[in-house]
Amino acid sequence: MAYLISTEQLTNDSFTKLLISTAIQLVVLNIVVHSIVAIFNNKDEVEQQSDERDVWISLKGSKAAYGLLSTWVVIILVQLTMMSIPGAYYYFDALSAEFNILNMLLAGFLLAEAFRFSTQLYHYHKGL
Amino acid sequence: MAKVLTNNVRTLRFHHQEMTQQALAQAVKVSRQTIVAIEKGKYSPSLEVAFKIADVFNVSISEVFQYQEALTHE
Repeated sequence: MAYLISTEQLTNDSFTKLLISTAIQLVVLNIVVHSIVAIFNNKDEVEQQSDERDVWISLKGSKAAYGLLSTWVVIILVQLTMMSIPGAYYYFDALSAEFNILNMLLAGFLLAEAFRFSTQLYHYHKGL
Repeated sequence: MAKVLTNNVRTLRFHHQEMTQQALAQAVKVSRQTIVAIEKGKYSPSLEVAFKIADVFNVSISEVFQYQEALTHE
């Protein structure tokens, strides 16, 4: 989400502050979205605990997300190796190598979470 | 030809005083959406849930679930 604001703000000094503010924004967004869903949802179904189908679909989502995250980490590791090659570039010139890697890892976590929810939605719709 | 799992849950519900999906779900301790998915053939329940459903309708499990060749529509 830091990228969406402005890449000029991405410096080593401001990265920590941006990271914390982004994390807080995500938590607030989560609370708001869950509150809205809870308000519009059927109370009986909200109070129900997850059953075997919910657990199964959750496992499917986690498995898919884990595969994506593992692949992402391997790609970053390969990129790290390629950094020793002359002419190789960083993702953001304003940041040092460590913060570039940190940014990419965080992007991978976010992508994996999005993929987990998408997989769950797909299985809820299409079935197992 | 490939075999698929089919069920008569909807029919059995109808013949049991038109039991609702919610009532069956509560009896079997799953969510109503799970019963919907079972009836549509989108989810195959665990053995335990399958036996519980048969128990609710007082029939054998083979009268509820069948493993048969897929019907082709010509």
